[in-house]
Amino acid sequence: MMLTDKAAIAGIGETDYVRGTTKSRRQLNLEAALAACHDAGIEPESIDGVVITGPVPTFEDYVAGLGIRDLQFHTHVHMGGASSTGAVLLAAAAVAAGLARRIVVSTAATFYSGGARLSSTNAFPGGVPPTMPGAEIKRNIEHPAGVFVPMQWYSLHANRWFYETGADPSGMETVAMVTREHAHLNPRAWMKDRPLTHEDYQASPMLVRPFRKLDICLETDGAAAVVVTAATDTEATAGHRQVLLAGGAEGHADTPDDMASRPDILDMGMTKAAPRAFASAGMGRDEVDFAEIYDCFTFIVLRQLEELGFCARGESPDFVKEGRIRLGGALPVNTHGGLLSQAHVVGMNHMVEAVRQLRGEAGAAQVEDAHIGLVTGYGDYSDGSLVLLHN
Amino acid sequence: MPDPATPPRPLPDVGDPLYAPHLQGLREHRILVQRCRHCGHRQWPPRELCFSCHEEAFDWVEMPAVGTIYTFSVAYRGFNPWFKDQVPYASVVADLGDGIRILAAGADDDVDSITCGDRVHAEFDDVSDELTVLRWRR
Repeated sequence: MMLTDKAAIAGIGETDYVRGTTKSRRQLNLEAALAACHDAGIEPESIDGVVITGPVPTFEDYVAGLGIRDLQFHTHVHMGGASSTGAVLLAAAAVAAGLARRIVVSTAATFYSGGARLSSTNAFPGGVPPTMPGAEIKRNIEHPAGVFVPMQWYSLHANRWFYETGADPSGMETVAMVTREHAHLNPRAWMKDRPLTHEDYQASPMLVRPFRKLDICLETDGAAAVVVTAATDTEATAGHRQVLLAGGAEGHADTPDDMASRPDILDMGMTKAAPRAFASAGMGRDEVDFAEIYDCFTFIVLRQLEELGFCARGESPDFVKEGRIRLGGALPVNTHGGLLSQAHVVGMNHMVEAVRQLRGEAGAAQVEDAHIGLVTGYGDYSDGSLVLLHN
Repeated sequence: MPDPATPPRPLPDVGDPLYAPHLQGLREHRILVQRCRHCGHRQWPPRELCFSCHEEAFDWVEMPAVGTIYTFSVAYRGFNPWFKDQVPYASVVADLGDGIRILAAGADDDVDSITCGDRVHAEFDDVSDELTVLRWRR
């Protein structure tokens, strides 16, 4: 692919991950962006592009906050949790095309403090965030049917998956347990000091069949960011081992604004994105050393493993057993604890962790001989995004 | 005068022209969906353009008021003030054939035994003079 090895992720930045902040998403985004610039060893003023992954902030905010001298490129990506990964891919494309040389991509979330709790529709008028698709479908069909929040949308998918494939539901517990173990190795993880036992998981209340509370991501406040630069930008990539983008893709279900009526609810955006992402990078699945997989729900990790092609539909509960996705296993997954046990940064923390792994800077959670890593995004009604990184 | 202590029930928008023929059908206890005049494609939800041939002219045709559960969701928590009182409740996607699947609230009290493949029939809930709400009952 034209963009293969043309773009590097030269800087990573994170705010603290907390539950309770008075800071706005704008402020958190700017702080993470500045931290990423500092990590890359570049002046924030030298940033010349921004890809925005949420309703806030504006490119004007980045110009003001970073002191950007000459913004040459900006765009927005609106596909929920698939946005962070999709935005990095887009930044790499812009760099490869020569539209900009140093692009910041930052994502913030105030799921704890911001009033937009994942279990509530109170945050928005009519209960629909402005960048969510299918507003009339929600108003006229979903809400009268009692369907309001993501755990309900995704339960429609899950219940059909169990029915069609006979998948073993205990796979969800495996994902929760392994992810929590990884969080214990991460000084930045919210759950770093909280053990999770089988008894804890089984006692966790069922909120929407089949999801227990412990199947669902954290609600935290914080932001994470990366700086994507031209691979030839030697000043920016000097401070750390260089991490290059090998390829990637985005993809969508056949009816991306309507989960209930699509021809096959098991077809995800990832179903279409994965084959072209691997092809674009010229890499095979067996070459991947670790995978940071978007984990708003344990269930969604299982399904993405299947649609990524690591195993057949219905077989992911077996795939994740016997330590295969644990550090030290054949395919470590979510080595930082993910959204389930680190923090909810709408997937940008997965990108940051992948870069740390490939730099060899992941500390106790370091994957041995990490050379090729995969990061996914999953959003809204099964939008999918995927990038492949290597060192 | 509406009781201020009772939360409003989430209802379709009778003012939405895209949904008006379907909502009129529900008042008559019929399930109507768009059928493209050019290519015959049936679609739900309603849209301005035919998904198949992209033309903009539709008839509204009646679907059978019975179907098979394609998938479902069961809520054990309330995510909306009105539905909080209904917990636990099911939301059901019924497959009516011809590529049409319709999401609506389940009408049964027994939500724990719901399974894909169960047969359901439509129940028409006359909420007001203006609006009838569709539910699926096993």
